[in-house]
Amino acid sequence: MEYYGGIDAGSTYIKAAIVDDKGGIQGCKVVPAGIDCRGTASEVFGELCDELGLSPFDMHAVISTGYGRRLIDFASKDVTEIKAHAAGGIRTAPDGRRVGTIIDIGGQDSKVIIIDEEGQTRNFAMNDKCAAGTGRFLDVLSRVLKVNVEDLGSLSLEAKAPCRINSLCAVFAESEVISLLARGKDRADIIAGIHMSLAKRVSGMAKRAGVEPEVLMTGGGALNPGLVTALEDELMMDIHVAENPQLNGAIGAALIGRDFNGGTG
Amino acid sequence: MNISGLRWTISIISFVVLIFGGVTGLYLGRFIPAFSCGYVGSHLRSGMCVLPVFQSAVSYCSWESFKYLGEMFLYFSLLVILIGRAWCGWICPFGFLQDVLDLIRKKLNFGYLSFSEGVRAKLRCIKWIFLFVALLLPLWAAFPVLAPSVAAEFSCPFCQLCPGKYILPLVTADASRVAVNYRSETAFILTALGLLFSVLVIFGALMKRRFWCPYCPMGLLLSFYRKISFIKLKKDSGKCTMCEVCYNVCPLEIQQVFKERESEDVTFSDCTLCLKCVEHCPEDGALRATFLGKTLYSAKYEFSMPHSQRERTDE
Amino acid sequence: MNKEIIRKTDPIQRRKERLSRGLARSTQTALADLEESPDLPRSMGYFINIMRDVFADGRKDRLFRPTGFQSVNPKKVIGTYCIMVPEELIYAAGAIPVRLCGGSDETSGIGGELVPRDTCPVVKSSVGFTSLDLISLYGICDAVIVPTTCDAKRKMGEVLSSFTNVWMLEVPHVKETEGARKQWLLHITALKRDFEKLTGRKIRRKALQTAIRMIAGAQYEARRLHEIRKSKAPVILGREAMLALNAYGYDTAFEWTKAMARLNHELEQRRDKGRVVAGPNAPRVLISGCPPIFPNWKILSLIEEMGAVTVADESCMGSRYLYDPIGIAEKSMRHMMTGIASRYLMPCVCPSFAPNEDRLYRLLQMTDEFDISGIIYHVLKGCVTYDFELIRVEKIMKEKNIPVLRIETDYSPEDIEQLRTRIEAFVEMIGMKKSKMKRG
Repeated sequence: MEYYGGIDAGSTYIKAAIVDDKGGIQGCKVVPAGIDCRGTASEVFGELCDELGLSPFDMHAVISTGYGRRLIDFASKDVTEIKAHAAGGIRTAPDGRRVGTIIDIGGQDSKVIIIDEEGQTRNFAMNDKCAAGTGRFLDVLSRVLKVNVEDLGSLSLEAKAPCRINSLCAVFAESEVISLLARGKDRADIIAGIHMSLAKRVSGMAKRAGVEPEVLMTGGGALNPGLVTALEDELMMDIHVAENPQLNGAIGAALIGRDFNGGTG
Repeated sequence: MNISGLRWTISIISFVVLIFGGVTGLYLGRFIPAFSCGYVGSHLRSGMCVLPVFQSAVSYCSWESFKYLGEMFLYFSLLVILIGRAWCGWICPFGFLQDVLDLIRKKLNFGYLSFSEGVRAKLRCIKWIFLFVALLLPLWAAFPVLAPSVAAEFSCPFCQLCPGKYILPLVTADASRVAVNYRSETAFILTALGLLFSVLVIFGALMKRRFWCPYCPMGLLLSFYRKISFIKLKKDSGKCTMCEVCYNVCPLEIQQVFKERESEDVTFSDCTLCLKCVEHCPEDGALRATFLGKTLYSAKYEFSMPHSQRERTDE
Repeated sequence: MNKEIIRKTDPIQRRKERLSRGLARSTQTALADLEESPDLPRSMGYFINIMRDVFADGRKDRLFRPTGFQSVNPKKVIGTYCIMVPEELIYAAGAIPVRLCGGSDETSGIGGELVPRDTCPVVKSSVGFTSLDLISLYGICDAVIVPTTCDAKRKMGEVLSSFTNVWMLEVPHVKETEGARKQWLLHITALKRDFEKLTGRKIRRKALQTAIRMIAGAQYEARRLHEIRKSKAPVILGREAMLALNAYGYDTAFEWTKAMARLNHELEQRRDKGRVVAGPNAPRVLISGCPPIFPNWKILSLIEEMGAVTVADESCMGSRYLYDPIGIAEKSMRHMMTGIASRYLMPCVCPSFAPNEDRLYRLLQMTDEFDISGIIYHVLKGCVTYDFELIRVEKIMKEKNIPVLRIETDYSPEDIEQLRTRIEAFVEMIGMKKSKMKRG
């Protein structure tokens, strides 16, 4: 059996995945990104190999992606996040659906990738200039609300009358949230409003890129059911969430390594 | 040889053949779609303009005259379908004379006159008036119900107005036509007008490129055939940069060629197919002249350059 | 010692020195990028030297003069903006033109103090250069001509007039009408008289004819480069070709033509020998939209760093600069002036004109002729007119199945990492498309 590794060195988390030559996912791992991207990456990859009883030398190829992709020196090749997510999204889509659009909400940026019939990227849009529309937006606001980012989703589902957050900018939204809190608004309502604001921004990007069904959501943002629902409402489309949305990039990278080495299946 | 040189050569040859070819006994017929004037001495000219045939046939208005007209018209049509208004740009002796006057202006490096769109639009009716004079006024001569003495002078009315009648014989050193006809008041008016036009055309052609051509009823007649003519000016809109060069070099100042974006055929009614636009067009293949769909001559960047080594002139 | 120097120079002077050091640094960085390439054509040296002379060593104390200055012995130097100023008239009057549109990040910061925040960096940089007199290119101009193209350039003329001798040149924004074209001819004729007054030399027919011929020579070489860039396997990188075209603005047409002829000769030899700078599978990019102006070589460097080749551009400091020739059929003054007026107005597809359908035709033609795999649409922040036309460009390119990537940026290097990811992903995408088309 041949193994292929994929590492997605993101801004907040580093993800590693290993697939075999049949395309089956052998294992994956997520750790928070420290300040030493390279060190953390090799550590997490080594741990993952240990868990699977493999040695890093068993790998036929290791592909890196994400912002830190050029720092991963043990990777044989690096690819852009767009390519990795596209490759991953096609395989990880639930029930083998044919994915037309991948919406990835990461820690530092968000992307919309449009995929054609043959699984190739047709178009993409990225938001990489400011925090609006990215996971950082949620990060900043959850800090103000004194909740964990992970809990935002479940909390927002309890909302009765979502507040309006008008600003898409993280900094201005923060002051809006503070004033809403001061007016005694319910926290769940505020969180739901935050999700709607973020969804508005992302859906605008998706529409501009030419969104097509089926829509798959990946990245850390997809773990947040409140955000997924808000985005569904905004796009008026069903959104599917991959099993391990965070790992989509890493799995994609590993799969690219497999395709690159001529694997089939 | 470039296309201008070719055009000059052909114009000179046709001028000599049409105006002086009769000396050798050559006779081409009475259906020439160009101003090969019948008033040029019959011992000199080899062919004759078709307009007198039209006018006299209508003025006789008999079965015989129309049969003759039909025959002439058939030959005329065939010739026009063959090369369209290239007759005007390449063969017409009167057009050639204007080109010679234009050459004098160019050699003196004088600028030329050009009319504004509004003026041009107003003057556009002149050629229709001339055509009306040439084709319908002779009917009055045929059925002189009103003022028969005046009508009698209208058997060949356009020829009396035509500057070709006065200028072309003059070229053959025959000044006898340059006179006012005192036979009747009508004849006097017609010939006086004709002389006036002649003077106007001579001075006009010195100041304006192809001064006469936009008003020529023969040209108008020929332009009716432009849709079925074998020779066409075509444009590839995708390659056109709308640089206006074709308009600037066009003696007839046809704007539509550079403005046209829809149709491929840009043989507009005023176009005499002199192909200056194709020669100066700086975009490879944007303009071309075709014969039955086959490209005869296509625009090339190299042709258009006023580059030092590639210097070419119209002269 | 150190204290003494500081006391001698005033704060403005010190600021100027710091800025010119910064400009010299970014110039050197941009040029080093080019010079490090193993495929750099040898004949590029001339163009690189011009840029270095103008921007890195162009401080007042070294008194920059265009290299061809001596050979033509001009009476005056005329600064021009945009591409509507007839250079033939400048040369015929015995002056020489230099192009002033700015591309420096350093000066756009300074210029930003004099113009609104949302102004495009071209205007900011030009204003900065002029107000500070940072390099002598701006200082040697006896007159500066500002055509009234887009709003920013138009108002820039006003701002510049407090620093230098500005002549506004009114450009009609609707060029289809007869009135506009007549008016334009009048403006050009008036400009001719102004040049005559400035240099004290009457523009004679012969001189104008010579000038037309000289620029036609330059245009001929530019068109030759244009044709070379069409070749299936690229023999020159876009960032090099565009630098060579950009350099036209900083030397006399005569000198530039000679250097361009040498470059073209070398490139044609390369093409014949099969010495290519990128494989036949390298994605071929058309850079559309706002002009990259030296030393802002940011986008051009990124595209080619990612393995694509910029084979075509429609920049007014690149291919469009010298593309359209003057068409004349006779040598009368009137005809030559009409020809000049037409050449500088009619074929120009600057988005400041409306309607500007021609630009779409031009882009479509370019995508066909250059076998373009993708378009990078460069929008400089604040350039509304180019951004306006993006939607229509996207629409027609969608029909042709050519992806368009909009890159909005300015001259500052701060967004370079984000741009890198985006451009890399785009190049990857069009590269896959291209190899798929090859296979299929």
